[in-house]
Amino acid sequence: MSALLEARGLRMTYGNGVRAVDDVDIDIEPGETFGLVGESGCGKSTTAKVILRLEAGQAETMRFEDADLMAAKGAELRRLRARLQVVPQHPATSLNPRLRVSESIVFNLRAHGWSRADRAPRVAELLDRVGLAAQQGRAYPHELSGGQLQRAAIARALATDPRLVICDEAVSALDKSVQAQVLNLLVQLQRDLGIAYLFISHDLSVVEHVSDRVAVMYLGRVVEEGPAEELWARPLHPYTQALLSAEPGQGRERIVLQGDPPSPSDPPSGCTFRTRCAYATEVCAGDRPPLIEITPGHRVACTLHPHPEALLA
Amino acid sequence: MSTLSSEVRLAPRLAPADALPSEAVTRRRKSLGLAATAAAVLVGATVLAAVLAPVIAPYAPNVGITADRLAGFGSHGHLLGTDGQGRDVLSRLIWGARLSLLTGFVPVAVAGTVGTALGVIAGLAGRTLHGTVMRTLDVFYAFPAVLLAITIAAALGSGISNAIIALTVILIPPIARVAETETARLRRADFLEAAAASGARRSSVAVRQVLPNVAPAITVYCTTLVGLSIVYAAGLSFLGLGVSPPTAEWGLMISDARQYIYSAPMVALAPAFAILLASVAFNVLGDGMRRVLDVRSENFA
Amino acid sequence: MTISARDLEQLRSSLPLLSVEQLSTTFVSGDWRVAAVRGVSFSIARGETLVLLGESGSGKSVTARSILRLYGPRTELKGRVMLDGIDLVQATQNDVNHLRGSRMGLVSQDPGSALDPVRRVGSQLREVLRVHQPALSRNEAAARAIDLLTLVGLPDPTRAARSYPHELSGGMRQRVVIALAVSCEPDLLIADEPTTALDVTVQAQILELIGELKGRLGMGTLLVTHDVGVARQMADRVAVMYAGRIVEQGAADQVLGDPAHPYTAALLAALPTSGAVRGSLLPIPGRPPQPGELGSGCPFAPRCRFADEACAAEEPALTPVPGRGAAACIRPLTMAGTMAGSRT
Repeated sequence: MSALLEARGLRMTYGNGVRAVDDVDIDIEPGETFGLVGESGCGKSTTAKVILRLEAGQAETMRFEDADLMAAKGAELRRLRARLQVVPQHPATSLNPRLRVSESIVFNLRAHGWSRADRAPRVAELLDRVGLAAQQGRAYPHELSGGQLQRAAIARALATDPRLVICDEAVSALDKSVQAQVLNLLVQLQRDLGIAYLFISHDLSVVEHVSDRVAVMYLGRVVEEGPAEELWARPLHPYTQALLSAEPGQGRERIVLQGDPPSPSDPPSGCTFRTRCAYATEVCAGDRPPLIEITPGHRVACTLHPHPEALLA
Repeated sequence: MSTLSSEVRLAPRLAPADALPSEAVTRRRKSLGLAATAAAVLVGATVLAAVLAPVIAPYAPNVGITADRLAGFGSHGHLLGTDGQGRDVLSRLIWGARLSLLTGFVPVAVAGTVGTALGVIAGLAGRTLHGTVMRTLDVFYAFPAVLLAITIAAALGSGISNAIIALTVILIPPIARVAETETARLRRADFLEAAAASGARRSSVAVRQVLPNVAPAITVYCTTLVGLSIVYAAGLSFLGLGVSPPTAEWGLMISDARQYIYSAPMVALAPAFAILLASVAFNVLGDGMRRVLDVRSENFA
Repeated sequence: MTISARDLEQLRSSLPLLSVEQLSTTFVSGDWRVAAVRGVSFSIARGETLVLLGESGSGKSVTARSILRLYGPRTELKGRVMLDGIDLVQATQNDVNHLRGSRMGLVSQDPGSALDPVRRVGSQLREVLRVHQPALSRNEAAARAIDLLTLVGLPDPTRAARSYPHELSGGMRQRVVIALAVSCEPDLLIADEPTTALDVTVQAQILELIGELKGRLGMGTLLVTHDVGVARQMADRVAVMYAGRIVEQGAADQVLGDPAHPYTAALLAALPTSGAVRGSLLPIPGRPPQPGELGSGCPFAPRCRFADEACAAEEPALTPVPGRGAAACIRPLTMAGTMAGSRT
């Protein structure tokens, strides 16, 4: 089975020379949840925008459902967008404040040629699926709570039967007791509809909970990726280790990093993490370490884990 | 006149949102308020009077009885007196409301449509198109609005339709700027990102997602501009660039009354007062609508 | 309510640094009133960290800000807030202003708003120092400012002192805010979501710094957070807030390990934990009540799986639970086992 999304060498360089996304590969299989974690400014949201074609990024290849997503324009791009949707971060602004919830959903249906007669039953079905009452469909966003708003945003994303939904910090702004409702809903929808998620969050425990595979980003690059369980049990990259240990209130021995991430406009040479890394040597300042597969599916970009061939030499 | 021109040239800033951001406050139902309700009644009454002019005006507007000329306020049969040609001032005011309101509403309606379209397009467009539209509008901004209106009206020749065209042209830039500001404010909102990612055409995003958010602020602003437009139109008529005599129009009525300004000041004061009242009424009404329409009370990240 | 001899002994040995009794905060706007905090009582001993844990709208931040008297005239404060024998509710605004900074320091969520954007960091620190310690000379204040920036772990304190706030990263700004807060060695540090706006690795640095300073300066600390993990890491004792009240209070291990109030238990169960089966989180149905939506009974009853008619009758008071802390529930959960059993 071929990947649902196959992105190679994603890049996004802003006008001021900041490389927000610097050579990132992302493959997402149908029906899986791919987690993308990292701290603010690491490029995870920009990666999502490049995939959504909202930012004019570059890619060596970016294929979605066997179509060239990078080159698509006009009608072809609009067709693909029905299958690739987004649930944004802020409940307060993820829905148009001047439109009723149902009107926001209808907007997406209309964009893909749903006839007037088919729209109303479809909206009712979607509201029901995300656990909203018909009455809440008639409400304006300011009349709903944060959890209800994100349910509505999910209903809108589902309107056109997407295969991949990008959840960009979709539950981060919610209270924990409500967040659990929305997370359960996302998992339930995935089971029922077989959608894949690109799940972006800075909240590690949430990503661990929902993801099959996870990639860790630092300063525009993926430094480690692997099956969620394995990554949490055996983080290989010093940054991943520090990140996981920094989460408060869990058992790991804390590794407190020194300083702040360097500015993305002037990243260090070689491994971008070396300026904060306890294990850094001169080698790390040289070439940028490539992602090396250590165990099946678990890849890390760190000179501590050299390429097997390099060891032989 | 110079204060009026600066009114239009200044980029209009709408009042900031209520200082208390609490949900309970913003969710309370808002009413127009006493002043704005009074203004609405006044505007309504003026519109009604204009429409019903043939029925309610006590005299024909353009027929004067020379014997009765310059009758004072409250004189028999002429509530507001008569002018230099013996025409009933009240009747001329009522008939004049037709043209004055026309010169208030039509330019604002046309400029509102064109300006909003330009502003929304500029607000959503890439840098080049945005720059082209906004810099072109800035050229118009560079001239005092009144001067520009006079120049255009003079170039086109006198007549009411030319006055309306001139007023429309000078009203487009400020309206477009409000629309552009409002649109730019939404640009990074999550819902517009979701709309862009939905696969809808850009025109559809502009009309169905952006416009509902821009419309309230534009409506409020345009309401206040109606008053201004009436004043400007009167000014053009006063200068002989608007309607031509003997048509009843408020500005022209003041112009006609100039020669009696010392002997019978009331003849000029009645239309002047009508213009003032209309202008204030539309301003107050606009302020009231701002509250009701909740302009600037959402927080966009 | 009975007090054992041992409890009395403990009371005597540690007169609290801060004692809050029946604090209520009501916002008033015309005929519209919102009771954000409704009769909250707790105390903090010297060197102790109390965490106020709650979700948005629970009144936890309002409580902290009421203690500092940060609200304007359209706010009604009731109850007593005793800081070492001074009642902050009754004190004049002048006295409170003086106590803020000298005996109480505040670290808030947004380091940006706590700093003056157009003044250098060093100058802001020097000003605070000289306001509260007028005897300090210019040079002494400058030296002390550098000391403080060193104390909070800024890598290049001299350069930081010369910087404007926007030239520093979020983490560094929060360190500066902490330096301001502890500049006069306060007895009480109030930290209102101090790390919520920060990245997790920076959060770890800041939490470590707060813990370290607390030890070094012997401050009592009131830490307000929505994050159970932060509470678990920092707290000696925890007070859980819901709908403007404390619903459970006790030792951190007990409250977060073996909660007595169904809300605390439900909040903990809703967290995604390592190894939980995907999609099987136990959310709390509904949402927290907004101020003004409260009925007569227990405010959590509409969302509580154990609630019945008795819960709707009357709002339960915070009552000691044998062998644990205190909970505002007519039927506090007895043991972790019972709770787990009843959840199936």
